[in-house]
Amino acid sequence: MSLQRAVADLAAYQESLPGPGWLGDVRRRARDRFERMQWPTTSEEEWRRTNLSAFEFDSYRVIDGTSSDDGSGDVQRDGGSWARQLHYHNGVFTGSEGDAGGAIVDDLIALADAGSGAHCESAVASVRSVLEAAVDRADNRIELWNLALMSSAAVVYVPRNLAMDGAVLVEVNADADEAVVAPQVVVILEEGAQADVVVRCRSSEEGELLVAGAEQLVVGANARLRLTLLQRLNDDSLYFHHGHAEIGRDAVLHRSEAALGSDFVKTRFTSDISGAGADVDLNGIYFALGEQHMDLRTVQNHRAARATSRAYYRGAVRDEAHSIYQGLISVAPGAPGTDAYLTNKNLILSEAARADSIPSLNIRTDDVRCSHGSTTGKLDPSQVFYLQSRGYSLNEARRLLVQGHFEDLIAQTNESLHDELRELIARRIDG
Amino acid sequence: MKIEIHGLRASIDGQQILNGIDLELESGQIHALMGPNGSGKSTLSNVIMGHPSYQVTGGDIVVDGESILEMEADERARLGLFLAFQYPVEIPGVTVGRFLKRANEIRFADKATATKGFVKELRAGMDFLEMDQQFINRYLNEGFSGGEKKRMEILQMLLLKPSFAVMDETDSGLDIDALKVVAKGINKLRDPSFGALIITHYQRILDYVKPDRVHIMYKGRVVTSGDESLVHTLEAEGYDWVRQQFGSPDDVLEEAR
Repeated sequence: MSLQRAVADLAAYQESLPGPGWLGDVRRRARDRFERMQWPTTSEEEWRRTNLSAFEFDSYRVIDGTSSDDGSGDVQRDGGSWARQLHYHNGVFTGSEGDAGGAIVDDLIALADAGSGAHCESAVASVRSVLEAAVDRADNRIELWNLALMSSAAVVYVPRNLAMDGAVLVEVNADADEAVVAPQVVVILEEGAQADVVVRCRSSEEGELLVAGAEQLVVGANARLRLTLLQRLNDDSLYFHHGHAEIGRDAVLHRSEAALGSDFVKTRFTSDISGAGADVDLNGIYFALGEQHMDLRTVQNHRAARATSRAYYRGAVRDEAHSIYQGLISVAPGAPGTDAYLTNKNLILSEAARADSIPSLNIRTDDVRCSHGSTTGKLDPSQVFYLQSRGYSLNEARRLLVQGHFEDLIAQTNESLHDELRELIARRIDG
Repeated sequence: MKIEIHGLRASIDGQQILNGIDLELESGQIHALMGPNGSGKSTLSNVIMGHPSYQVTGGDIVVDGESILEMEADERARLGLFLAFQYPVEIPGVTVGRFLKRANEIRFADKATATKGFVKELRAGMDFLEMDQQFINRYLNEGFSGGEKKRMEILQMLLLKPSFAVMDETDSGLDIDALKVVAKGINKLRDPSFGALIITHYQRILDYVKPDRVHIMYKGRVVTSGDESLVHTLEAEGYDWVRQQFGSPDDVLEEAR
């Protein structure tokens, strides 16, 4: 296993990566744009509260994607009831399990190598155009870094009118130290298709990782996608994520993300609602403790008529942690009848902890219903007293209330994750 | 359980509300506590349960020979005290079932059967109080109507079987059907191991739950106590009678203004 510097050796690293020629072109184009850009600075509105100037990005190493992974035999299969699982370890695809039915759920390079069948070819062609578009659209250096470093991608491709039976798990696991991992997930649902996808990003207890992840979703006309992204890296890691969704006519996207790990988090999810009548739910759970910094952003970009979107973000902060939620609703002139809402609720559990809530609206048409609301405060003493009057100790009452703060969002994720989410939250309350 | 309240004085935000309460309460008895608005009835119930916003500035509350003033609310609950809230708070994200199961475990910690028959008992209690079983999976009090919240308080009381319950205006805001259900719940528990202090502004609930003793509170004091006939005196004379009997001439003038 060779280790190369993640910025200085980027070109050499890219040449070592496997995959079809077009994928090499995508990476090179990303690198080309990457090299002409600076790291985001606090002079940009989105990055105003998240300062990257202290990071030495080049001190992180990339793990050569061509090396076979010796840990593959130890990959822990998840016990949940998944139709199909894809596993990645330190950036390398280590195997899959289960049956996707008529859908394609596979690693991109494995898929491109197999190459046979019209299905496969059209899936690969779709992934290619999605990734090419991602490079063109990317507007910051971290996002381009992900595309330049991308060794492969987890692909979920569901053909027209197929409803997948059971959920897909994409497990991104890492246990390296001072290493960068750039996971990429591409989910494409053709017209009328349905899928339920879980992406879990985890690490060993030790080792400082820098994860620069990305997710590209295409939800075709009248298709339904539920996607849950759980980030549970160790508390030394850094986590960047850029998600993007293209949502077609009458399509439904229910996306949830949970940030329950990492020392530093900066994420953005943009939903481009380009089909009339689409329906989008963006749910977020985050809990920062110690001196952690978490900055999450959502964009509800309405470009078509009569679509509905809602963002529900709930956070908790304790100790000296700092969280930021930035939610933008943007309505284009061609999107009359838009119904968009965003709400952010934060619990402040310690005096020195801080939660910033920054909703914004950019509305360029009449005939819309757009609103936002946010609340930030401590646990309500009258709720604590109520529980105590029923025998709950002070600690147990507080724990129950903090768990309750997240519970209705947990209920909307894939059922296999409920206990895990509750357990991760409980650990952050008590730890 | 025997509760002796001696010379109890309490304040909130520096404002003195209770000016020396003397009251003796006991399991096996139903007491009614009546009084005009602002006389300190709700303060008394919160102080008995140990609400941290109130400061006890004098006197004592002694339960079975021991002062409870230093105890947290949860310790008092574990002794067997219960408060039915005037305005039960909403607890988002915590289902009725989960909340009650744990409360039941805490209350009956010393009994192996704590959870064994719990679900059956919960369902039976809901039937008895004419509540929809769907409530088990709803978040506690969230989106409940005023009447549903009050029934939920009574349901909790039925399941937790306190030795003594303080019921803070549980009857206010209820229509007659809901009031009858609440009264049914109290009467079901009525036996030598259960007692209650029913705090109310109106006599109406006392038509359905006959009190053993009636106390009148005014300006932070219990000014008179008696049997059920006191309720009828109040009904006939109104709270002006209390002011005239037990207030200073200034109070009467003040009220008249």
